[in-house]
Amino acid sequence: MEQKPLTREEIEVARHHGRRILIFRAVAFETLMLVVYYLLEPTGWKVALCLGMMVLYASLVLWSIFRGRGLFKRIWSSYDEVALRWKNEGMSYTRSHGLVLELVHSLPAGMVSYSPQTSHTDLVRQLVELVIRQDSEKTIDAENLRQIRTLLASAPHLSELLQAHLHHANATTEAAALQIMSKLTDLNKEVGSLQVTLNDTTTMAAGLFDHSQIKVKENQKMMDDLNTYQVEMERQVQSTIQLLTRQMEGLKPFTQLIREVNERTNVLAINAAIEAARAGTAGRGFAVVANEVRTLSHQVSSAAESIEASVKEISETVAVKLGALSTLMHGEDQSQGFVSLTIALPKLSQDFFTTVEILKSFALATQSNVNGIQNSIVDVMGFAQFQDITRQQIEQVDRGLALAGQHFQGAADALEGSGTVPLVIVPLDGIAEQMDKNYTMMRQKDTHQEVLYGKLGKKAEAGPDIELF
Amino acid sequence: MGKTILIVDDSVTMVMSIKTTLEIHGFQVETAGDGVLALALIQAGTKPDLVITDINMPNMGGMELIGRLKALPGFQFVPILTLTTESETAKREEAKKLGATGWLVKPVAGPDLIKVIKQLLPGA
Repeated sequence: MEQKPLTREEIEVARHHGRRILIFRAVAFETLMLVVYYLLEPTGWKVALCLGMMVLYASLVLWSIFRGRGLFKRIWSSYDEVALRWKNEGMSYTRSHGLVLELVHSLPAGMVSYSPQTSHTDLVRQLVELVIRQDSEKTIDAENLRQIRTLLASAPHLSELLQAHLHHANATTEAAALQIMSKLTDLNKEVGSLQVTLNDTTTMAAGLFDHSQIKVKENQKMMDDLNTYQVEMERQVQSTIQLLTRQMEGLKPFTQLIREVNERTNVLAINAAIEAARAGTAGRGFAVVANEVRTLSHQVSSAAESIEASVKEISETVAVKLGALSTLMHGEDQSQGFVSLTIALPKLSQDFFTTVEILKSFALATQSNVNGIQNSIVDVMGFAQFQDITRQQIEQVDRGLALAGQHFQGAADALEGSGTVPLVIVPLDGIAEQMDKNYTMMRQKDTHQEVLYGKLGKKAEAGPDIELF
Repeated sequence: MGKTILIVDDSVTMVMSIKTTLEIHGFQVETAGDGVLALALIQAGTKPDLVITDINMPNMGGMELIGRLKALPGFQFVPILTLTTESETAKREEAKKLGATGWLVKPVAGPDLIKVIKQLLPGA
């Protein structure tokens, strides 16, 4: 029977189905071996497994035969010719052997070792081993792929976790730095308040000093006035004593005069009485007058003595009282008090002055301390800027982690369809390049260069830390 | 009354650091978190004698702020210092062309900052 030549497409289809048939046969063989093995010690699930596999195999074989039935007839017919030729050349042949040889030819060289003397059974064994090995490798590849996919899918979670930790670290350092600076600000306010208080105190002390100086001067003047008044009073008392003494002394001639007039009057009265006695009756009236004059003279004499005694007594009393007053005004204690007070007032002024000087000195020293504290605060404020530097570094790492997470997620998504399309998974170098573009600090650029290119790597050009244009 | 200095930075720690340092040295200080807020402050009537600005900020960065400030009437001779972590010369040149007066790299020590400011504001 003349066979229609097979097209290449038909041969490919036949190979495809033939390969399946071969695989299924191999599987069926293995299954049969398993069935035999398990039937020796049958259990429920083993039997069910074997039966299930057999049913599956039968279904697939039937399906393949149905699909490739016509082609196989023609292939086998063509193989008959080949087989006849091989037989003529002394080689064993069968239809199935031809099919197996066709399959062996379709495989890459070296996968199956064969020669014209290789038996059909040996070829089938090799093919079965190959299929089993490939299945095993596929299983391992699939498992590896699954693990890689799981690994990649878990990477974003780790990135998120690390980012969250970085955010917390950033927030913590920021809060701590702010608290430190807040306390420093409070300290600065306290220092400022202390400075204001000191200045106020110094000003008040200076005012107090000025006021005390005025008061001291006023008191000094009052003391001088008092002293002048005392001297004047003393002078007036002395003058009064002298005046009274002189006036008292001035009364003495009057009493003497009265006494002399009285004595003369008395003599005159005696003479008149004598003359009246001589005149007799005519002189009786005159004798009465003379007698009255003499009586009056006695009374005047008595009054004069009384006046003299009174003047003397008054003079003595005034002298005693004024002397006592003079003594009182010249008292030792009072004079000493005036002297002490006069000395004490300037000393008090000096003490005030000294106190104010001490306060000024204290204020100056405190001002120096305040300046020192404020300089320290300024220094610490400068050091506290580390937080902003750290924040930017953490943000850079944060962005890198986010990009890596996205990258891993993309790779995991790409692996979902592995085996059907080529994977497009690029390395992480792109992220490093992207990070390099976003660096702001020379330290970041240096670190990047050192890690990726070594210490001799190219460094970015940088200017001084402080530059005025 | 001390000279008024405007600090523009999105970092609260930087703002507090510079503000306290300046206030200790007797300056009046105004602050803004970015370029937009700084311009709003100036439009509201703040007239700084000197501006210290960061470069990398949200909404409006330091470079744009410098350009806009220099375009405002009365700001032609107001010194503008940049205070940033950027240290590349290319960025400096850009800031210089826009009208910046100087470039300071973070962190900056307080005495150094005061020295520069007193150099720019004689008598301050």
